[in-house]
Amino acid sequence: MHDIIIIGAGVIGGLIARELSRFKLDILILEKDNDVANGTTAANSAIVHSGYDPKPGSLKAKFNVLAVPMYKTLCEELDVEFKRIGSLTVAQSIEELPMLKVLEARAKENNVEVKILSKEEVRRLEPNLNDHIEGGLFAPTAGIVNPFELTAHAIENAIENGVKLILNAKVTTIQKSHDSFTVSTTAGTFKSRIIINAAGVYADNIINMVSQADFTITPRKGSYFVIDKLTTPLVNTVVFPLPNVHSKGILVVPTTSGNFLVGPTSEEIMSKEDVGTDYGSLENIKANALKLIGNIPFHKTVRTFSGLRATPSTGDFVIGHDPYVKGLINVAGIESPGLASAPAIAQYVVNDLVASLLSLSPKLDFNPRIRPRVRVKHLSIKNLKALVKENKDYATLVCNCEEVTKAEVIDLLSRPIPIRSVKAIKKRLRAGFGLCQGGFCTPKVVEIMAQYYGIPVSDIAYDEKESYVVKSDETL
Amino acid sequence: MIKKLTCLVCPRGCTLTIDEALNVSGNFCPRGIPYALQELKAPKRTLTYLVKVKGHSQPLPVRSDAPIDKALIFEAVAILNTLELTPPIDFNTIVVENILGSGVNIIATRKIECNEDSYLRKHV
Amino acid sequence: MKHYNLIIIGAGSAGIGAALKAHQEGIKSILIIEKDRFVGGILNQCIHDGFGVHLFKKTLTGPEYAYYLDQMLKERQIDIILNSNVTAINENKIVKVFESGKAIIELSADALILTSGSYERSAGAINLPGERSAGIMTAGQAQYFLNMKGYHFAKNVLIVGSGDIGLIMARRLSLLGIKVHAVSEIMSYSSGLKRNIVQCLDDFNIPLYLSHKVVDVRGRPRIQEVDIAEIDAKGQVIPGTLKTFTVDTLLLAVGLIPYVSLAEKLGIPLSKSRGPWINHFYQTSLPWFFVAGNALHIHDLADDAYFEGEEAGAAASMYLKNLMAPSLKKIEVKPGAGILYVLPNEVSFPITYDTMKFKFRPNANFINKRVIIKNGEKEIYKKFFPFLFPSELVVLTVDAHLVSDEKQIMIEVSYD
Repeated sequence: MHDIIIIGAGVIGGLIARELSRFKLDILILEKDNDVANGTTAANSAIVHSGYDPKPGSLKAKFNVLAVPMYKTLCEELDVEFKRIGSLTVAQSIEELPMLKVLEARAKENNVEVKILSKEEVRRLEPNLNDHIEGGLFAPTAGIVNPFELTAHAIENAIENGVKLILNAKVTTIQKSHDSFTVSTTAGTFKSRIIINAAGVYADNIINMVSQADFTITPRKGSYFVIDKLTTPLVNTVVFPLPNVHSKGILVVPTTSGNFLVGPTSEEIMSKEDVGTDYGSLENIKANALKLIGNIPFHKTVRTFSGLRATPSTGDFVIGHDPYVKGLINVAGIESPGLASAPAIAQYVVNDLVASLLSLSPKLDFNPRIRPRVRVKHLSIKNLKALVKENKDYATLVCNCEEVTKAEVIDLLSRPIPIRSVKAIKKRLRAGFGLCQGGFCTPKVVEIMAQYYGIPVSDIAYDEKESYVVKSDETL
Repeated sequence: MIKKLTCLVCPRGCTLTIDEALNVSGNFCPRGIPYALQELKAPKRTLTYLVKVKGHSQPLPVRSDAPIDKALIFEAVAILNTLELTPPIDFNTIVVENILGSGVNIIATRKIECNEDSYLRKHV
Repeated sequence: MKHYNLIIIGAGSAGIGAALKAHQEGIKSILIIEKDRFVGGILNQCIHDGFGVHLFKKTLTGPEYAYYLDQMLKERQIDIILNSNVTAINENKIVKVFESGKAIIELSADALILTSGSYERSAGAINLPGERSAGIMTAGQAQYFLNMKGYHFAKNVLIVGSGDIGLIMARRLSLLGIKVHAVSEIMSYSSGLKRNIVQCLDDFNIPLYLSHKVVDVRGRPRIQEVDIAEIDAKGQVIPGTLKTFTVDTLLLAVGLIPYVSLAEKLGIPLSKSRGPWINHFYQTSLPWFFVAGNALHIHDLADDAYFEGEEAGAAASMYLKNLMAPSLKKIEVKPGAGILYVLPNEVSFPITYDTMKFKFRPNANFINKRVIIKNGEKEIYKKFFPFLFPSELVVLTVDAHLVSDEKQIMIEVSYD
């Protein structure tokens, strides 16, 4: 019997697991997919919002603002790419300028530092913005983060501090008996005293297995373009149009790996599994983005993708003890600013909610740091040569576009989270995320994985189980 | 029966029509006529294929050293599917002599050394 | 740090043409850096024939062509390192190389020729809609897995794009007994050689749907269905033209793009050909940095890439021997009506050569048209073409004395 089962290994479940691993508790993470960070966490704008935008007094505002200063230390301990580049919300006409004042007032209420910039100041900060941009609201504390690394490294750290992770474990039923839960999954049955529901778009379904959800989660799809790295940056900050009722609008965002995201759309859909893209939404993004920056090089698109936001019918995060079933803690409806708020949410869940149910006894040997990853791309020749001396695989390049070596792939395979797909490697090392989208590196990556695991290349999956890259057919 | 086909003699690619009396029309130049008649009577194709090599993941690419009758292609392929060659294999060695009595040989288009796969493993 | 007069990146057709020519011109300190374990580049996986008609006067398969290129290199004992990737070139002409399983080295050069070939346009780059199913890959990657690794992973295939790679794979798969249901092409004409339409599609009764695009992809974990539909001249889907195919593999043959990040990182501007902006010496904005082959613009024939490599090799040799007079003036070469792109992008004066080559592709199919080269308002060259296809690169040789440095050059298809 475990002390706590966490359902969902996205950024929320991952950071909660890491917080919990500070204490002498038996923790198990159950993830339905073939890798961590595979749902909403894998497909969003990767922004650490400053926190000026959410409604003052809401949980969104509270946790976003609390979390922003936590990012620096967290990312340093977990070796996660994070850049505090600031965000700029622009007024596209004189009529829109008063709105900046409204946002400034809201920022003040939320205790977030912002500054209104004049037309000239905006142009100096972002020279590519169209001429009709009249001014902007600059929030210096906003930033961008690598959500794959944040989640994977947090979970790796948690595992090294004693947490267990099971992949491909989709929860099918939950039963509560006197003081424990029995959780049946596609990977076996598990028992625990407490359940932390961090199941993303499925959080309401999970609640309904054992309790009664007083709210619903509607999947809200957002599609994006990913633009290749450019010699001169398209934008230097996170650029927003004015927010509207439904969403923050179509943004232009740098990523920590040097790409640019353009998007997202905001479309409520029926299916919680539909992450496809369609021409209509993509054309919509183009039209709106070009209003901000007329020379976005869409011909340099490397790929498009969609993610699903877990939009709660309550309009705000649902974080707390389940009102009907003791021991069930819900962390649901984590849509924007979910990623930005995640570190603060994790602390609250552990230090307030879990603490009220269990006594938290700190581990003396808790290690908050992961073994940093060697990032060949960023190393000097001198340091590279020293590495090669110890390990010749540092001289074997696997990915030309992103400069990733065989040694880095093998290092990843040897870390605590099981790597079962090409996509898992792609998410962490970026091999396959670059210009050629895996054209050169996929054959090498599958060979390395096959050799490492001692299995045929035809058994290597691209993403979920059985999504084979090359399945040989003996009948041919 | 009237047949239509694309002439391949030059990149212009005229659409040629051949009637029952074997009259050819649609050709921009005279070269189209013998091409059409040949294609109709006895079309030939160069066969390029892959043959399994013992102990090697990479198959051996092979070719017919002259075009074969189009009608024989699938039968020739069936024969090549049954082969498993043993390295080393020299460049342009005959792999199948006089395939299906056509007078055409199937030859290797690569040289295969003995230890290729272990070499491959070292270099990803 | 080891130093070479000339470093050539990529030992494909163009790279070897460049190396052999430079060697012939007397440059002895040459190094070719090749990322694969063999010479010949993409030719090694192109097991079909049709290569070498001009260079070797035979029709060879890709591997045979590669073999002969390798023999030529060995005969002249030109230095080459295999399994080595160049990740960066800096302004001081220093090249950073990862020698697989060996070392990371820096090499310096006096001049450099980039013949690094091209990469395939991906599903993401064409905004392929629908699910992210397994079983979707580019035709070239499928060709690699099949021909170089012997993996068979398809039973029912749809090919998107009628470029030559797609057509060749249609035949390759059909010969293996795999059902290729159709080839879907977004343009109203095929970009592949007519020969391939006949011998890869017609021979196997594979339908070609022109003016069609993919509108949906379904199936997890592996692809199960693809919808394509006809589009009108504006690119809008025509209602009632939807066709659904039940397949387990979708291959994309939607275009090749010069792979030139090494040049871009140095700030070298690109041109409409998607490769670096060059003058008639195949020189980029950096006088010591030359480019040729598919890294400059996509070729239909490997022989043409070889010859272009030779031209770049000859120019680089002149540069190295200080025989290239400093550029006093340059004029731009512009693509006019009916021209997709033209190379070079500019002509430097003095021209030095007796003749100038202009290479272009038309942007549509033309029958019985004239191609005119204008220098300012003056017509300096005119040629009649019974046919012009986007799938066939055209090379025009013009008397260099006819080109004056006054105004720009414009090449256009004349409609009269």
